[in-house]
Amino acid sequence: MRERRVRQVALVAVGLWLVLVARLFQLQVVEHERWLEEARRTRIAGHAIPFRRGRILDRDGEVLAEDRLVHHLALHYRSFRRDHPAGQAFELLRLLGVDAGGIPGAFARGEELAPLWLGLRPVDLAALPTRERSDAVFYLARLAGGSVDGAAVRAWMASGTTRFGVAFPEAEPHFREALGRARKAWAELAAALGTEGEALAELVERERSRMDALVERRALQQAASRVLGRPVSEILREAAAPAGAAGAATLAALEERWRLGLPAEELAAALRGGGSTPPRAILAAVEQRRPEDVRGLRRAIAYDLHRSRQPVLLRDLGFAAVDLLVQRPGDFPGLVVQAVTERAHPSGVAPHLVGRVRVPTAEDLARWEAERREYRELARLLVRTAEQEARYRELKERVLSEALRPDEARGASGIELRYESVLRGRRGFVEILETGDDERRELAFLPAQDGRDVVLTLDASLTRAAEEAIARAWADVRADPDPEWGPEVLAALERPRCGFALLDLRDGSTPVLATTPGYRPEDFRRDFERLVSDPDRPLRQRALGGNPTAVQTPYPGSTFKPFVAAAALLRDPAAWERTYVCTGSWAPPDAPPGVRPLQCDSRWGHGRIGMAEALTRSCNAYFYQLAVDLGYEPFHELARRVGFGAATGIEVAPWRLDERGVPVPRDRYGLEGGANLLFPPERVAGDVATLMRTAIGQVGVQASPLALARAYGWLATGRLWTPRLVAVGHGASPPVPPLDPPPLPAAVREHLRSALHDVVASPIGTAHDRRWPLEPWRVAAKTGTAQVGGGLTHAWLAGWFPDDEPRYAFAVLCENAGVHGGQLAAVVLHHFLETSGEELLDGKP
Amino acid sequence: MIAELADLLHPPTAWRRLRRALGSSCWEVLPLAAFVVLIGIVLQWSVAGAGPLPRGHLVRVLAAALVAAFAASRPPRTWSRLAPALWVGVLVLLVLVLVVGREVNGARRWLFLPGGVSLQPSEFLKPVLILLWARGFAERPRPRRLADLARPAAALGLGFVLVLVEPDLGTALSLLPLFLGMVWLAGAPRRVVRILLLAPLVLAPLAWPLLHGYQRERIQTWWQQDALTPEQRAAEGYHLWHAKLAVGSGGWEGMGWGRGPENRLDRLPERTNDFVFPVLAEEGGFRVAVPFLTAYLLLGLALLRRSARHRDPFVRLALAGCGLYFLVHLVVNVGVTLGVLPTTGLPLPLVSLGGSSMVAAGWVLGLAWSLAGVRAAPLSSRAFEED
Repeated sequence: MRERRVRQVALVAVGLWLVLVARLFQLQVVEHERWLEEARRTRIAGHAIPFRRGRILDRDGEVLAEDRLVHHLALHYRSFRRDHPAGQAFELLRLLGVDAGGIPGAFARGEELAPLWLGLRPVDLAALPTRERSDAVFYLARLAGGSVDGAAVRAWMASGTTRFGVAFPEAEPHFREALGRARKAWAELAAALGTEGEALAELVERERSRMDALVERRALQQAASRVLGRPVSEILREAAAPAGAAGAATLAALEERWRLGLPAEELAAALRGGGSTPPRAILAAVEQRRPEDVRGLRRAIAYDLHRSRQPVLLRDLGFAAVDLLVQRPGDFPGLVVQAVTERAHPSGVAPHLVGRVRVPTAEDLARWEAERREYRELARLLVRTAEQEARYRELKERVLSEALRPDEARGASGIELRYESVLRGRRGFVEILETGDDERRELAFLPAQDGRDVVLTLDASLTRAAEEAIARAWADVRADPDPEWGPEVLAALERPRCGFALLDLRDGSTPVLATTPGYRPEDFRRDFERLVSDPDRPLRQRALGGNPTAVQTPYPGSTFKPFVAAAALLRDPAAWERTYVCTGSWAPPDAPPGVRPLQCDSRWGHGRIGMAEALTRSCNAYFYQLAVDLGYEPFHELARRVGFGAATGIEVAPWRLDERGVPVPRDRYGLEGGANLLFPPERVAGDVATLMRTAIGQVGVQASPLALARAYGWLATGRLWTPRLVAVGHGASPPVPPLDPPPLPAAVREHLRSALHDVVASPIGTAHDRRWPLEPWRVAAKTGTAQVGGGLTHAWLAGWFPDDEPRYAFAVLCENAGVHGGQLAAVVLHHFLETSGEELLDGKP
Repeated sequence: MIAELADLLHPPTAWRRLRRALGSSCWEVLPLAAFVVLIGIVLQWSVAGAGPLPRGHLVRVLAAALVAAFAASRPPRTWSRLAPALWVGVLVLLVLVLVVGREVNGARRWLFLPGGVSLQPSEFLKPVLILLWARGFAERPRPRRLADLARPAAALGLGFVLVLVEPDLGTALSLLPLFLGMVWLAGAPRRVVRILLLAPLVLAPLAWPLLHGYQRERIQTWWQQDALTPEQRAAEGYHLWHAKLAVGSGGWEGMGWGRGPENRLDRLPERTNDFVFPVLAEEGGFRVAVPFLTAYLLLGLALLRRSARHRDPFVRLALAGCGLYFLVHLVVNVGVTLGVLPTTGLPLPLVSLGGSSMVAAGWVLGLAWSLAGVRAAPLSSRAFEED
């Protein structure tokens, strides 16, 4: 053993170490770029996994709203024109300048038109521009089919003068056969769709010509861009203001080059898509004067559009059609099945309440992104000023709760919006590592979490019955009109406008919240213009008193009188016996000059009348006098304590139109939060006329049907129920103002019950009608006719049933009907009880 | 008292004492080993996600330090005396592995002890063989003929076969250069060593059919590593390709700690153990990898250098064996990851996550400390007589 040997070992070690370092140098320094390039081929692809939004169910589990996979039939025109015989023939003839009558023409008369291309000689094609010629070669080869390819067709073109059909004798039989097969397949598909093959061809033609028009417009825009050497977006911005300096200069520059002789506004309109001169005509003119400005544009744009667009031809295909398309794709070139998740409303009831969802628009996303950026900036600050803090809190809530995704529907109104956090699931994601070596590995996976269901206390079948009862009642009343009704009343009765609220007095649930007219949430976006301009205001949530553009509930009219009576009775039970004289109108004897007597319904007066009869016959004069004797304070106090002027707290979010006319959520809670109105005492103090009119519910107090039903529930039972719409699916509780209803002595209750029972049962009662009786269900109710500034009156009926053992409180509002409550609202209730009374009362009327 | 203190603090005296203290131990090993261990911790931290500290690794480092301290506290003759018993013990464990060891990735290498501790006996075979060979060569005259190597070769052979059938080709093969180095340092004649060097080349064709299919594939892949198809990169060439990808893409600067894609995306196989060096090369780049390799080399060389200055043949050989232990691992482990050697699994002691490897390396360091601390006066270089 010697030191030299150790040194030798050390030398070997150092030598090997040098080899390692040299190799390291080679890999890390010499070959670094190459390896870095390799490393860059690795990508991480993230895919979101969509969740299923929770359903909205009625109390029996009937589905009011759910996510449903629907299949649309879409057109992929590129495949259609390349692979469908009708598409091939149409496009070829178009290149030759022949109008085949669109796709339907080529489809139906293909054989008739065939000689046009079978008889082509090479010289006919030689006239075409190069690109168009090569397109024609392509289509000819496709039409000839079989073994004929582009090279063969080009050889024919070079060969001489033989007609195409002679050079390729197999072309005609092949085309006939292909077209026949396509017709047969389309007939099958059309049968599965419940339509005709020609109708399908029409649909294809519709989308094709739409795309054609788009091609022309874009070609014009790009020609302008080419001439001016500026981006299209800039030119369009200027064309939006043709009168502005920049716009005028741009349009003048185009005019100078093209010499179109068009007014600047016309050209601007054509560029933007509109106006009376079609872009096609302008392009044709440009093509004559400056062919280089438009050369190749149309073809390139069409190529792009045909490839990238898939317009929908038919929505929501049935199983048979989808099956056919998926099983035999080869028979339907160009027809594509698109699978889309849509919010479906199978029951179709209470659309206002259930609400809508919407996919965020590009503007929504841009706004959200901007807000998120601002929020992050603010979140980074350690110390915030008061304004910054307020803004930070506001943004935080909005940004975090919204988290918009372009393909994710969000609640936009109703329960869909209010219960967004419950209904919305959590989207999952999968992260996949992709390398150039076709290696695909899952890096992370988070399963999607479906949203939870929301169960309402609403009963879909009862609400549907109510909606039907409303329609039938309006029709019946119109069919058997009162001779006094003028033509405007008859016209108004043509289209029902009704709100109907039914409150269960055992648990505060709301089995019926019906609103007519309704709308289809699915079609909301499409029908938006019509919905907001419709004079019947189908977007108005009448059962809750909501209005899409201004929250306003109607006056309760005479349905308010029982509360004035109750206030008087609570103060002095002897008031029941007190009588007043009705002469048809009344003004306080000590009224200051200028206060005119107010009218009663009965022109000749009811004579001396007590409280019971005053309620039964709805005598205004009685209540004017009672109110003046009583003063405003007592019945204001009572009305306030039974919920007039307060939200019902129903858990539905309303919405409003923003400055661009787009519906956006208004706030998070109660729909009629500020809608139910009650004048404070100071508003009425010293104003006798207002006091009197408030007592008959014509001013100073406003209520939704639901708010009125709640108050009548107190009259019926002495207990005030907070309406409950949502049974399962709790989010934050809506702010319900604490109400403190006064005790209702049994004697007072009995007085009112008997009086309101007589409204229905007694021949003098305002809701008594032998044709449409309400007695079988022992209804106790009060009619009302609410005046509307500048319109026909609203008809009301509010009450409860059965009168002596109250189970349900209700209110029916018929808007702008121009008739009395007893004439219409009572009929609605009758029709409803006729179909659903037994079910509601467990079979015992 | 004060005088003593003053004496202690008197610069020339203090310096002399320090030099004496340092001279009697392999002190330079400590900072080098500490540097390597520190790099290892940083690497394992990055591999674990660059978040919380890699506590498992720190526990293993602590265990290795305790083992090292224990080993350093025992005198060399204890280790010399214990060597045969330790060897038998490790052989028993190796047999036990084959009997009761659980199969992981097609190999039985680990004994799973209660408490979640797993033991890889083959890692302890190396230090044990170093001790046994050192003792064997020290007790007998210098080997002159091939026959003189029969006993150490038998000691090697038994362990080699047991490790080979696990199978753990990497560990088994790493025993051969260790043996060769020990034989050379024991003073075997060149002729003998030449035979030992040539024998594997002759035996290789014979051993080829005995190799497992995947082992042959790996060697073939290694041989044509610059012409791998995408399929090969995804299959048998996966280890090699990704190791080189990590190293190569790291470049001069490196991707930054915790930011190497191959590491972060878990594309480097075995990146806690056998392929830990590419993580360093990827994230630290050439400018960190080279100092690390240098420190590792110096660690081995320092032990070799120390060994040359001891008179006791056992101490000399055992100390040199400790140096060889680190050098062999360095060359094989890093060589594999750089594609210089065919792919085979061998951890990098003091850096890899494996507990057995870490503890065994700690033991080797402790042994070295114990051996270098022998109170025998260091010899001058003239004390070595020429052959």
